[in-house]
Amino acid sequence: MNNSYTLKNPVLPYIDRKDALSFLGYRNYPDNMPDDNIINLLDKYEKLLLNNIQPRYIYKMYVPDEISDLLIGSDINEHINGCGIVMLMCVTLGLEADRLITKTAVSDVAGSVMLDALAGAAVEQICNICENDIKSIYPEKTATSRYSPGYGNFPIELQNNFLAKLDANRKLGLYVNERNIMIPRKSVTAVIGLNDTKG
Amino acid sequence: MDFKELLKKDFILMDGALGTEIQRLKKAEAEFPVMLNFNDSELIKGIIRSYAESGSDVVCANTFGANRIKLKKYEKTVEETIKQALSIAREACRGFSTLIALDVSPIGQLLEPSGTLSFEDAYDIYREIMTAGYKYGADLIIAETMNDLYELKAALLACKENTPLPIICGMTFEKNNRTFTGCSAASMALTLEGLGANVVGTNCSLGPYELSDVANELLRWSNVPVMLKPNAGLPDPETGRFALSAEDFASQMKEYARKGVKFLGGCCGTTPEFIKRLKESLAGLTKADVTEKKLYPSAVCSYSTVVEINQPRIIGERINPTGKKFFKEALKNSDFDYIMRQAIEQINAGAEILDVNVGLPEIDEKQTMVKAVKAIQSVCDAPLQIDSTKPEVIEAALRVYNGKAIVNSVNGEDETLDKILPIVKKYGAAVVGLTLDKNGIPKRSMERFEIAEKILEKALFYGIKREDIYIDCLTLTASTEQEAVTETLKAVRLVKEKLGLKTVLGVSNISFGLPNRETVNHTFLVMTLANGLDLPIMNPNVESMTGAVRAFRLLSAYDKNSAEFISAYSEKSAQKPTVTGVTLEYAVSNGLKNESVRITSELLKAENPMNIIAKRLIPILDGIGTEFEKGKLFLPQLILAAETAGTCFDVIKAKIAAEGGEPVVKGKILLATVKGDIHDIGKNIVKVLLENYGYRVIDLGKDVPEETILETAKKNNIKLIGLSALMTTTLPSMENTIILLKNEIPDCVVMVGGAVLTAEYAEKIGADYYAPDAKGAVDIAKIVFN
Repeated sequence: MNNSYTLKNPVLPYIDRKDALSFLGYRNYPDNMPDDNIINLLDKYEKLLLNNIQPRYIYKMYVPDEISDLLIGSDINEHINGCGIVMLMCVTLGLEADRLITKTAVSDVAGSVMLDALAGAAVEQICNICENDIKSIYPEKTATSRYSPGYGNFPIELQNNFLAKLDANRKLGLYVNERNIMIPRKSVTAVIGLNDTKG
Repeated sequence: MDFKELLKKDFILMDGALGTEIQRLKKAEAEFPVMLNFNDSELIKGIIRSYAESGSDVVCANTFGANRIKLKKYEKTVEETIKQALSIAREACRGFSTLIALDVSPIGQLLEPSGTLSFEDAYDIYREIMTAGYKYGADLIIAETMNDLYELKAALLACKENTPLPIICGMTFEKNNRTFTGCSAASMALTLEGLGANVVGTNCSLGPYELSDVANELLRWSNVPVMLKPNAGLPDPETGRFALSAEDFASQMKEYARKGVKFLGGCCGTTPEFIKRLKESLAGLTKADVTEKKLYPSAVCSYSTVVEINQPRIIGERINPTGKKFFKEALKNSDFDYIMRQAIEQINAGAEILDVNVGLPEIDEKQTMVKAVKAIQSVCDAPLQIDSTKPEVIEAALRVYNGKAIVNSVNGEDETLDKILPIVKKYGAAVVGLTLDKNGIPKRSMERFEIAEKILEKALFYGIKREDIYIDCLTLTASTEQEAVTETLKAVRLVKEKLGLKTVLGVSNISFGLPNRETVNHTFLVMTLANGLDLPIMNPNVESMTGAVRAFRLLSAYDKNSAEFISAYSEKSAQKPTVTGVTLEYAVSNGLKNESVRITSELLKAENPMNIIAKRLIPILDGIGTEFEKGKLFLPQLILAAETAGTCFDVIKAKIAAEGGEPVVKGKILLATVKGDIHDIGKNIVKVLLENYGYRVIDLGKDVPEETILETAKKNNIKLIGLSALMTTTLPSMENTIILLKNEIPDCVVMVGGAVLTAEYAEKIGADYYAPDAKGAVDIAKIVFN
């Protein structure tokens, strides 16, 4: 298997407002709508965040046997059952997002909470962009959904190994601390399986 | 051949890649190439030898990644690994005069403040590596592929303080000409050179062509030799192979050699062939071809921002407890949020450098200064000026500062000069010299000039560059020493013209004791600028003062095309229509801070402050809290309302303080996110609410050890502690914390919160209360403090 990797710096033109609102507790949208004041603030923080982040992602293709040391636990193996190809992907918004949230929290906790929700939505969007990128390589195959360490019995302790396989320290500036928390904080690692079943 | 000899050469050839060579020869990726020193030493020896044969003057031993963190799972020590690697490298180079470098990589974990590895622990990890390198015969150190200037500083200090070896420092830059942590090439050069780096440079990530901006910036800002070790171009997205051929690589590198880059080599994708071609292409080139002479800039920096003193620059004076009641309180309560807010406010107002003074007799100045520096640099990009005269405080601050700072100050007395200048030199800082000595402040400008001369002479003697020496000719108060004003101005001119040194002055002192202080300060500021002042230390929050500096820059043609002045003043953000005639309840609920403050000030004219709090603000917050619980309004509004109520509280507190009363505190609450967890947004929300309900909150932050929580609780006589955790893996830590607290201070009430908790689990681990959300925490506080 050719272990070349794909590394991209996508540009995010906007942040999914509905997603951000649900992080803030506004469920059952549009039944629960924020008032104008909050909407204006969200507009302001969205713009601030988009101007400051450096989103990037990387993915690499494997056959499951090559990464058996990573595919631990029944849940992940069930998830990619029947997949001849497995993609490891890794996404981050970069340290600028963390810094903006921390700095804002010093004098504006409401703002930091909104930035945090917006950043959460943003990283999901980048994951979707990455996932679509992966799917476009083999359009005739079917892709599983994303499955990340920490889900089910897929151990979160594998993050270190996961990042090492993608050389994420060097290529994305992404690290994991001894508590398995990724830093920059707005980051996602995930496995996607590709199989030949139709639709 | 040793390093000194090597430096005499026009160009020094480094090696090419080891990692990609191993991959190419083994046809597989090695999981941890360092282990090949034990498992396949012949392979490593062969690769290193081929670089020596190709003409490398310096080769790296296979030690990239050899640190105690990464070696742990392979059960090898740092010492034995380095010993083995160096011995292989030496064997490989037998018969050649090649120097062998210990190759030092990043640790693999991010340092504070973004990460959880402390600067001190990083230093310790590097110390082990550096001492092993020296012990087993490395000729020099190369610390490369570094992302974080703070981490590189730890490595550099570990090398300089524990070995006599020279060190080459390399950082990795992305296409935006920054490292992943935001470090610029200029900041890197300025900071590391002052700390004693022998060579500064860049390696990896990009090819020679893409590194042109970074290379130029390094050449501009560095006086020590510059290193370039690019990748063999960028990888082809289809095949993963590196794009550049050996010939193209060599010809691109030759251009850099022409520009003045002295240390040349290759990183990923380069091979011995690349080095051979590089050597050939440099053969005809001599130093004579290499261009121009450099001027040493007068500049300071943070990890990301360089402030060059080539025009007047504003130093913000507000982080200083003198005469500031609230600031003194904040220092005594270890309220670093207050300090960070002051820092950010000054930057937003136009300060370019921040003075940091935490001198208060009741506190441990050294410890507080270290925490203050770390806190400020976690939210601010401006360079700092360390304001203290105690050598141990200055040293501690400079050690943890991520960049090149200013030390404020030394004076003409030999004792301060001999104690402090060596510290300034060691950490590569700039230094302010006050023109006074044990005889006090001289009346006449000429006498102050003479002290300046003495300070300059001493500083040069200690190896400090004249561009890093700033002279403060001292501002006396005009109301008592009127004649002294012109003497100060004369002294500034003399120092500027005769010694060519940068000048500093605190401008606010001038008006002490006079009415209309702002006008006096403003006029004095303009007079000083006209006489050559470079660095006014002032209050940037006063618009007339910041405005004067901006206008001066425009009028002196520093601000080309008045661009900055126009951008500062033409865009007045669309003023929101002022809302009037609303109730306090409406204003607070809708986050109308200005209006809330106005209404509160009105109310204070007629009503008792405590009444306003108890009968108006608290019920408003309670009402909003109830709406929140009902799901009628949501988190952002809850917090906004609490923060708005906070501004009302500030007005009330100020009134109480002005009348000589003591601020009423309903109770003290300690908050912390437990050890192992760095999620703190929930805790911050709880803090905002509790504070704005009138409780005093001591916030220990995140990842807090149980002993610290216990100690602080005991010291401050705490009756209620709130613990938060957001990960299932840190629940044991929470349980242990509660066990400790219940053993040692059983009377203290413990409430817990966080997404992973439930009422049942809270009970199981011995907590007294469970707070499902921020409002819940307030309800618990009400119960506990009644």
